[in-house]
Amino acid sequence: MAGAARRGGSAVYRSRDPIRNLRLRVRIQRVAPAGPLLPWVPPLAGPERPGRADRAADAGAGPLRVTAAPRAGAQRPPEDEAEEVEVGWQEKLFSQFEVDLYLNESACQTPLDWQYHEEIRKLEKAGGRKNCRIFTYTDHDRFTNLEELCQKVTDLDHEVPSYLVERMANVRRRRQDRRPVEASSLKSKIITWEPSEEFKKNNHVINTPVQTMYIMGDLGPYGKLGHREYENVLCTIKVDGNGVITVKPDFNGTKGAYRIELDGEKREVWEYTIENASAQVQPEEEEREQRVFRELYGRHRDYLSGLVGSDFEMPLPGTLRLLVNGEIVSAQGYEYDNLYVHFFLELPNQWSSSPFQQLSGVTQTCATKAVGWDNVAYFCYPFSVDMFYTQEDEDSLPQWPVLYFEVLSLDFWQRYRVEGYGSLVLPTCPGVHTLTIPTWRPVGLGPVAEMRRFFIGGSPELEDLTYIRIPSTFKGKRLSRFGFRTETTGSVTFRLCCLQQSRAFLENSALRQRMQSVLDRLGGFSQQSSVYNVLEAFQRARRRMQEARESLPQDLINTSASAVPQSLEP
Amino acid sequence: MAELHLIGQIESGCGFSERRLFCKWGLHAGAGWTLLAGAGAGQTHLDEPQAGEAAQWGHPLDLHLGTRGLQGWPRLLLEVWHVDTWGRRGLAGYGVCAVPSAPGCHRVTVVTWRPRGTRRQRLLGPGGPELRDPLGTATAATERFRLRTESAGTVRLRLGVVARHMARYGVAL
Repeated sequence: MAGAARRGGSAVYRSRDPIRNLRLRVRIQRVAPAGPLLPWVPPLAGPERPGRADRAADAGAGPLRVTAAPRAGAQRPPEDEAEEVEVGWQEKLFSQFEVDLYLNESACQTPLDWQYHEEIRKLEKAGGRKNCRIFTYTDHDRFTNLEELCQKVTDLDHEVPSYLVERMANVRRRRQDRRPVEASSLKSKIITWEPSEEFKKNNHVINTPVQTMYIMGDLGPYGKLGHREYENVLCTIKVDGNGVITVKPDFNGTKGAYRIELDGEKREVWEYTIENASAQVQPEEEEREQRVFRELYGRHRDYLSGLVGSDFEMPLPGTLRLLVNGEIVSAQGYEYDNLYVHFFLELPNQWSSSPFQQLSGVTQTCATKAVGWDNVAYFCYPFSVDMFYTQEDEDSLPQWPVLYFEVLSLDFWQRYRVEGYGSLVLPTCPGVHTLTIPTWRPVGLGPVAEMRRFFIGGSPELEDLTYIRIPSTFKGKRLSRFGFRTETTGSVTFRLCCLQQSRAFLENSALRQRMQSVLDRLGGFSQQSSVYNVLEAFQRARRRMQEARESLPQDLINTSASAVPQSLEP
Repeated sequence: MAELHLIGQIESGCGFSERRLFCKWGLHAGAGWTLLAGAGAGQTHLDEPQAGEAAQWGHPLDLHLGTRGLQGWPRLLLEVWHVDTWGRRGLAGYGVCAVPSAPGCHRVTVVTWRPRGTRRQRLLGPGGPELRDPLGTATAATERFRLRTESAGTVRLRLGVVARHMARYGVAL
């Protein structure tokens, strides 16, 4: 068996169909006994190349050909002995060796042996086996166990199986009875405090259940079948519980046949092919299956939309809905402890919100803690704002809502101090935005104001918070803050998830273009729609006219049409 | 109907003053939202970090939501608890986080806070005040001004968001 060339790598197939439908056709043929002068083929030959097969045949045709010595009474073997067998999944075909072995009742020990004994006797009665050289080892056979245990990885002569190999040998990756999930998951234990031996065997290694099958060839000389040393693995097939089929070597397909060169004195060469002979699915059957799946998925979709409801709330046409799921995350770097944030949203012209919408808020008073160099107050204050923008005229530059906020501190004596002012414009593009806004606070002139702030609390503060940006009372052309003194304080972190919704996106989404700004989209839409409306009105009028013309009595048109030429004729 | 898949995990909690921590979580959304598949609430195991200060949970989240509108965008409410060596349980922090609206994978750091107890409670460990109605107070946030809190630690989340049919209704995420 040592001379058997290792053939190719394995191929992996996937199938959702029941594995019992798998059938393989194996054809084995003796090409010719190789001459002794033939260079020895390295054992790592890949799938057979056709050129090499020709050469081997040529060499075999030489005068040095040695034929198998015929036994007395047996006829000469045919020149190219061939056999073809179709094997089903886990179908047992007995070898000559097994027939001889299991016919002997004293050799039968396990129930499986007895079962084979019965089957062989039945076969003998029916008139012999259909296979001669090709046979199989199924998942239950001892060979399958031994093969997996004795697999050598290196070419060391005395490779000793490691501890892990021995352990793994006990853990045949067989289809294990899955313990049913207990009905009350609360009562079932999550941890096994005293794992049993059986539990360890089952759970300490990967246990995707795998079933194995070997297709073997008895490549002994003619008439000397049934010797274990001439048995060769032609093909190994493994199937796991997920429908993954591993075939080693792969089906031949268009490739040339695989070749085995025996190591004995005669160095015989055998060629064999493996084909997938499973019955193919009929096209109409496949189509029916597809249809069933489609129907199933369709039903499921209907069921889900039945649970939720098929409609979806939409803004009015021509408006943009801006939904902000915001959060005041934290405030850091302030002088005093026990911070809170007061904020409100200013909606510019053309923006509106529902009357129940809350546009301002106050966080809790939070004591800070030191993180790195800073004192941080974690607010984790969520707010949600739903706003609508209606564009009235396209020329005006729209303004975006602004969030103003102030940070205040409250101390043990209930003195409160302004810690900082800041503002942010809501992001114009949808998505998640994390913004850290630095703040400032006004300072009075001279040290007295600061001392007052320290001892009795209170400090200069803004009368109108919109002064942070452009004051609401501002009317001039230049905004001057000359003479207004401030001091940089800490910063406030916001996280804003912005969502935009508009019917305009619906129209443009078909074009699949990434739009630069919402305004382009909105403006483009209103313009486009006006042209579109005109065109549609025109088409409608034209259709009505045509219809009217067709519905006219034919004779009326004819008479009028004929009347004109008649009048012209004379 | 538009759909939203939320797949991710509650990775870890760090920065808390206590060590043996676990986290209770729940997803809360408006009336238009329906949980189609997956668990909407859960609790991680109790983890005691041996090295470093972060309690690693690696708790899986996998939710499938269906919605009739954007109103009431889903939020995750996180409650971090600690258990001391005598088995006494105490609150470590509340946190809330809106599910990120943009599709993709997000690493979200949720900061937490807890109601501030008396000085005696702060010194003696567990037994600090807890919210009567965590859901209402932590997520709705309109009554927050009544509270005096202190900063607790942070919880790290990794959230993958997949939206479906949002574009069909003109929603830009």
